[in-house]
Amino acid sequence: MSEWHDIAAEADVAPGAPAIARIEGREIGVMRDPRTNELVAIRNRCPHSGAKLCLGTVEQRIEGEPGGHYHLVDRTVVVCPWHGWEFDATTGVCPEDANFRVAVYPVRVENGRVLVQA
Amino acid sequence: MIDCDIHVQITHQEEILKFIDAPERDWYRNQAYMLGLPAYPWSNPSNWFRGDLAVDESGMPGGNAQVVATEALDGQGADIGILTADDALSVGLMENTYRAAALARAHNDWQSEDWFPHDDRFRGSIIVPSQDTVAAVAEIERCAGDRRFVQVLLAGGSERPYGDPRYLPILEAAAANGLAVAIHSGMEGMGLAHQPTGAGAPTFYIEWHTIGSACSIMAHLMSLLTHGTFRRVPDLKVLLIEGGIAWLPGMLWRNDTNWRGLRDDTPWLDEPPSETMKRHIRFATQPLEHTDGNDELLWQMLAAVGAPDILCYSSDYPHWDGDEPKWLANRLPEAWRQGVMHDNAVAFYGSRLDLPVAR
Repeated sequence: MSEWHDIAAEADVAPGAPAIARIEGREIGVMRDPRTNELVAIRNRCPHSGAKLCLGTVEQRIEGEPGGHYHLVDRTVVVCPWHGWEFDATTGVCPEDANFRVAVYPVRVENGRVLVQA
Repeated sequence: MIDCDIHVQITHQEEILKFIDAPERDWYRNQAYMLGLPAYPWSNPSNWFRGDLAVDESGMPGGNAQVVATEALDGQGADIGILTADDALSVGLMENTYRAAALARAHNDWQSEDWFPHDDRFRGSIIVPSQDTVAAVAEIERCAGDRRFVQVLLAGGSERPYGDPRYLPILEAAAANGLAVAIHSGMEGMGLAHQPTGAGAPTFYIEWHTIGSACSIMAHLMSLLTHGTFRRVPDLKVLLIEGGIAWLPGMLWRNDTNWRGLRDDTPWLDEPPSETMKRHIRFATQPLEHTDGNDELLWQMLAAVGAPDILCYSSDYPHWDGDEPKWLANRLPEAWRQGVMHDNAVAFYGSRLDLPVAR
């Protein structure tokens, strides 16, 4: 049964400054979404080639249509620092290839502390 | 492990300009893009560089020898790291031949004096003003005495494919000095170079990155083989960098077939071109194509045209599309690993890799 783990002080997690913790052998990072200010808890290992995912960025996803039309959509992705692959911040699934998926975890803040269920 | 492609970045132009005569420096300072080098019409939509590397005050990684030694050599576990220029790859495509020659000299001196002394594991690449063959040969002769240089480096983008006889003196000078010739994809469409496809300029970075950079490497490979370059320069060794490799079997099979039927036009080709390729040409691995679960097919195809002997590991540090060495090695068939990650480069570069270097 997964438990809630105290990862960091909430004030210490900022865009570009993730909190990283090792829980039962897995490295899990908590990142701040600069758009929504929400927290994202995600395994710190890209399923593609092993980069530390939490050294990447949290971004609003861009979609579009042929003809040169671009839209920002209401979807947050974690972008790998090596090859730029995107992973949905809610599901952990790579939108471009569902065979690539990273674990994401419930996260909440309690008394100024970041708690992750893993 | 030997890494055949570590890109050094010019993060501070004055570090280069100190090797250029004072009256010339302002010309380079006043150019629209870095030091008067030509620029791409598009940029990487996110970042040219890996996002997890240390950057200096310029905002770029890869510009400091000590940091590169830590990240690319210690961090990746490299016994030897071969420095390849980055933006300066395009020096041979500058319209101003004389400024190109001076900039190439400065970049080579910068490697010799500011990079090699930092770490005995560094080896380097001589860049040349390939638009002026006389000046290019002079630069090779000037630098060849520094045995930490292991190759002459040419850009994928070019005025003509490198089998053209105008380039022969450059290839001869390299071989005569025990230097390999490396051709690194990129710079297609810049300055004096032709557009990167046979169909005109691509619109998007992803088009160039997928085929544009491969097209120039294919063209140079075909040209070098067809001109009989390796009969004219028997000691010539060529490394093709970052043009991909999954296309190679199809191209060689097609070329060998054409050679049987079309040989009257190039009767100096006295063996199937693919056989010449296996003796003289090597391919840097990055970016080794993803196969969506079909790696075994890729190994079979590559084995049919000379792999693993034709493959030498490259990381492409510090670029965004690099292949991390452990990840790459684990993908390879186990029997290929020692050769691809180390031994093939030792055989290819020869004694310039193992010389003791005085700090």
